[in-house]
Amino acid sequence: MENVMIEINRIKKKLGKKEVLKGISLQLKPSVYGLAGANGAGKTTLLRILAGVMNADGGEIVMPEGSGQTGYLPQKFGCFPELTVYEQLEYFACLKKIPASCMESEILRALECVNLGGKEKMKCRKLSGGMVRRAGIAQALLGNPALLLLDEPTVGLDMEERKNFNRVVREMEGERTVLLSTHLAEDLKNLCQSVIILESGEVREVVPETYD
Amino acid sequence: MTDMVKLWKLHIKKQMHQYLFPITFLYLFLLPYHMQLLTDMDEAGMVQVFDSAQKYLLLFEIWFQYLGFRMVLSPELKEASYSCVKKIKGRWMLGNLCFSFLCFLPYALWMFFHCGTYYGNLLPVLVQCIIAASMMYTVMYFLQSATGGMAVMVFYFFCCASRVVPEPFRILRLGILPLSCFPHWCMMLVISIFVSFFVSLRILFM
Repeated sequence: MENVMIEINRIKKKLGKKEVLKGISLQLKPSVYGLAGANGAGKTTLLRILAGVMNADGGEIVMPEGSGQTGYLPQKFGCFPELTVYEQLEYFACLKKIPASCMESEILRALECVNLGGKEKMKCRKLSGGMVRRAGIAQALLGNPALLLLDEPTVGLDMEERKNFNRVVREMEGERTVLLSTHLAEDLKNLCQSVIILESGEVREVVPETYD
Repeated sequence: MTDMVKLWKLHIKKQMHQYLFPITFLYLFLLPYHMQLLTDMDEAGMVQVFDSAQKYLLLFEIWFQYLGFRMVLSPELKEASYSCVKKIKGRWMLGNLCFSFLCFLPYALWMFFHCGTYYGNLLPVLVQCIIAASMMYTVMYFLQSATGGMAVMVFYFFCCASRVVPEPFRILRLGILPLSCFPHWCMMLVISIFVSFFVSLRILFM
């Protein structure tokens, strides 16, 4: 996936009377990008549009062929308490139409990636906050997506859990494009090769610059 | 299709007791009760049978739709799975409907063969279930909540059963044989709205 380039061209979105995104354009390579900005800047809206949860009012997103579905970890993600970890991922694997022949291996691979290997039969209600977040990344990784979207992934995690989470994200560097929305300067500094700063629905700055 | 089947298996496996409860009630209590009522094949007995059949089948249909969407629309999983779910939710609703009809089938067949010349009354009862499932699906779609959808439909059901809702707006018509209830303008309007809703949003075919 080293040469995959994802293009976001003039994405616009209006919610009610407010123009939340005013023509966002970005080119993203396999790397970890931080998405920063004040509340109301449009970070979550951009992620939701990229994830397909919401439709843009204008613009286009160009994903290379064979890049697979987009993986998305929303801010509000939890585990359905009655399911085991394996069953929860099986649920997402069915929705993502992962073939039955490789579903089990795909689920186990995703769990290994997030250091939840061996915990497949654990009930979701017994998972700690950090483990829930890592299970969230595991479901986002199903299908080996070229684009992974993480919305405020470390909110509510203690230091130890945040370290575990950050280790998982760092291991993905160069493998796929990760777009991580966060308020935490520490996460931006430790995880992200580039930081995209949004202000009032526009890209104010990209540090360092990633598009022409 | 295999992924839908696998999803179904997961839903049924994790909610086995919730699915079994109404089925057990239907075959262990309601069916014997109707057997007793059908010993005299008079109209009064038939009205009683179809009244209770309408009520319970409607409630079971609402419950089966709730169980079908409980996981899909749960706050924990809704957002992360939305982009996938929106492509299948129409078919999922139909799947819930087919599954509930499959569970009701032995009871329906028994009724068909044991209520003599009144067998035609079974069809309006099943049509009511389809309308109730469609209404509940629409409510759940707008509220984005399975619990909300169930609450609204149960409230509406009890308003119909207690005749609080004016007759033109009632799905549930009690006290008369279902075949005697000719489709009235309100029911046709509700059906037209749902059909146009489904067609305009291409929900069924997404």
